[in-house]
Amino acid sequence: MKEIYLDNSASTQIDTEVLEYMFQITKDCYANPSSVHKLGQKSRRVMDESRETIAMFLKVKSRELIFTSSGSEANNLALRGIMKSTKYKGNHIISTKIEHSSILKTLEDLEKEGVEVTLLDVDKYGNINLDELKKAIKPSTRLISIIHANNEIGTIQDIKSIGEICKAKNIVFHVDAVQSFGKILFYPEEYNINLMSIAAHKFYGPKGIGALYISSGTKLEKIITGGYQERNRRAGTENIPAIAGFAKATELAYSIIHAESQREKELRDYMEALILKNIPFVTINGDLNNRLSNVSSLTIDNAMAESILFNLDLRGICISAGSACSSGTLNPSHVLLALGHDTKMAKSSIRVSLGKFNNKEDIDEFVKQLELVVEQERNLSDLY
Amino acid sequence: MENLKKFEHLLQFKEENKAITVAVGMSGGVDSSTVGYLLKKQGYNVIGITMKHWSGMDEYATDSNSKSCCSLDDIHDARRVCDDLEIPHYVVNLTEPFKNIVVDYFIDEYAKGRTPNPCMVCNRHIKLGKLMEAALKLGADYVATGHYARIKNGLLSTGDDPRKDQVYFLSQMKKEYVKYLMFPIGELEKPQVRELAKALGVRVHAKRESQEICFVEDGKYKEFLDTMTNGKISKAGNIILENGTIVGRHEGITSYTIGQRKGLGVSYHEPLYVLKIDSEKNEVIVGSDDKLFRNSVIGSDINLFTVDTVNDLNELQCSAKARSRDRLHKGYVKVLNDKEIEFISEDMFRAVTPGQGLVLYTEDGVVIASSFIK
Repeated sequence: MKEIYLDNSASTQIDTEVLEYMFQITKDCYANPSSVHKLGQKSRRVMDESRETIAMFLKVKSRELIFTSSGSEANNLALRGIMKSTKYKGNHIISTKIEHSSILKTLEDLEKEGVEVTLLDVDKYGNINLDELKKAIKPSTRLISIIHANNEIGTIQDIKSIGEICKAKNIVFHVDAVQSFGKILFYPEEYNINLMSIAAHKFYGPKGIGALYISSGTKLEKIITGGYQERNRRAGTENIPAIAGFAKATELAYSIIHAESQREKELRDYMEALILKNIPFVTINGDLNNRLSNVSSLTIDNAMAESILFNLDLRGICISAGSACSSGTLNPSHVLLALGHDTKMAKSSIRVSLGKFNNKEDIDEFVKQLELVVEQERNLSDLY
Repeated sequence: MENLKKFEHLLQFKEENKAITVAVGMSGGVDSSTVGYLLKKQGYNVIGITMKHWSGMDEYATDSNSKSCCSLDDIHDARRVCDDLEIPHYVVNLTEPFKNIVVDYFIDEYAKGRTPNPCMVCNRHIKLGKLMEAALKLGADYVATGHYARIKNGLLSTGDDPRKDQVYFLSQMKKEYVKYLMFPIGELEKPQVRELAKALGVRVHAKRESQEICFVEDGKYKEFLDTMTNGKISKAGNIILENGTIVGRHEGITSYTIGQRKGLGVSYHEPLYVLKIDSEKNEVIVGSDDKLFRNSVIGSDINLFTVDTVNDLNELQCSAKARSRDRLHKGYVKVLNDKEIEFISEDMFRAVTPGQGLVLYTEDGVVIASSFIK
């Protein structure tokens, strides 16, 4: 049975070219890049070149990129690092109700240190209101953290305008670009972004490596202490093979960025049209005019998402409900609740996210199976 | 490449060079980086060596807009240039001696009301001292730098344009080390160096050069001194005329140097210039412009090149500079004792500043001796 993988927002399959490159690097560049000797310098060179490559695509300086273990760590470093450098107490952070849990949970933690947090509401499409943002700003506001493209519903925030607001008010602007980097072409400097989180495994790179862009002049303290790696921003021996893979994946993603997002958009739109045609009482969540090309968040009335997931899995199809981090729990997605869903609706919602390895055959098969599964689900739920 | 034709003579490969190891003092700047490229093309066995001499007062505020040499960025640039050249790169940690020998001297001189010249001290003890020694210990036969300078008959000499004098700062170096030095771009002026660097593909060919003292960020040396001495060095005091009349107040003598006119905050019927700084009385003495001129300068801490003893300088006809950008003053030397000389000039020196270098040159630009103005 062929596996049809439609959970690319959770993670992606590593590119063969990336994998082979990483294998070579793992084998050949094993010395610690902080070592003085030639072999150490060899590892360091791979790291420096990789960093320069990624920086080039973002049009930033390579010294502004700090490698982390993940997008979550980058988010932690952004929030905690800024708060640490401004001594926590009395500082105000503005974010949104639809952030990734690594932002929300970290903000909760920071509140215990005396940081004040405002979480902006979103409308039913997942957009924040810029006027509300402006009103929320006060003299003690040190940081505004906004998710660029939401991982569950795909809605894209207007970070250009938010960046302008932050610049005018001299507030540090952090963007969680984990889902948007490699899919949407944009440059942090043009949007006045001070901090930006990215993760390689979202665009066919390896897992276990992320990065935080820190614009020059942004004062931030490290949260992982020990050594002076990453310009004294993050201790720990650098993951050379993963860094190399990150760079290679970035190169590949950018080479197809426009064409691929266009292709995925067409495929996704085709899929949604087919679903809406064949399956009654299905609604699409998110800002349909302004969302990631590959994400489809669907609320399927009178059907349990969990059950749909299991049944599709038995048929060799991988999708998710909520986001991967909250799977394994019965908690409904905080993002969908923020849109105005009630618990029942949230528990009936699934997320389908396409990738570059998906084609029309995958979609046709998926929709066919979904139809069967949903019908079965609904028939059974009538009984219970 | 058309652009490289005029630099052909600098790019000549010589088989015999393969047996010679040259360590290039890499600062991450365009001059030293270009030297690396040239030496490699000429066939030498090249090693890159960078000194870590100062980590800054705030370890991670490596702001891209601040310009001081050899910050983390510069060491990184030096390393990347060596990567491009495929040569080994070593960073020698000289932060302790640099602090003790150069930085502390800098602070002490200002405290004494003098204007220090840290580059002269650094070149003697650190760069063409400890760093050079480290290079020689790596097996280098020579140490090359990007200075605009020449070696004539085993002696330091200025480049073709004596107005662009970098040997003034090198002039305190030990004579016995000159034989290890190479100045591969010593005959090229800055615009030519950048042109050559660009044609060679040197990654830092357009990099901005630091004009300030390398350990003081953005040239803010008053703030630096205050931070390093916890404000003790800056005490307010009087600005007075030579006859003792108080004409104003100063916030600390470190803000002043001889010949300074700006920033006195004094209104007077004629322009006033700093004539003298009295650190003991914490006074800045000012007067009219004509008072700044004198025809003799006394120098101590004498470093010799063309002669063996200080006494050999007696009655010597030569030229002298009392500042790096000074023009050459013709005159002769009078030896006062075995530690001090006096240079008597045919014309006048303006704003002679205690702490700066008094350097003697031959007609051809060869450095005879170097001293510090008393």
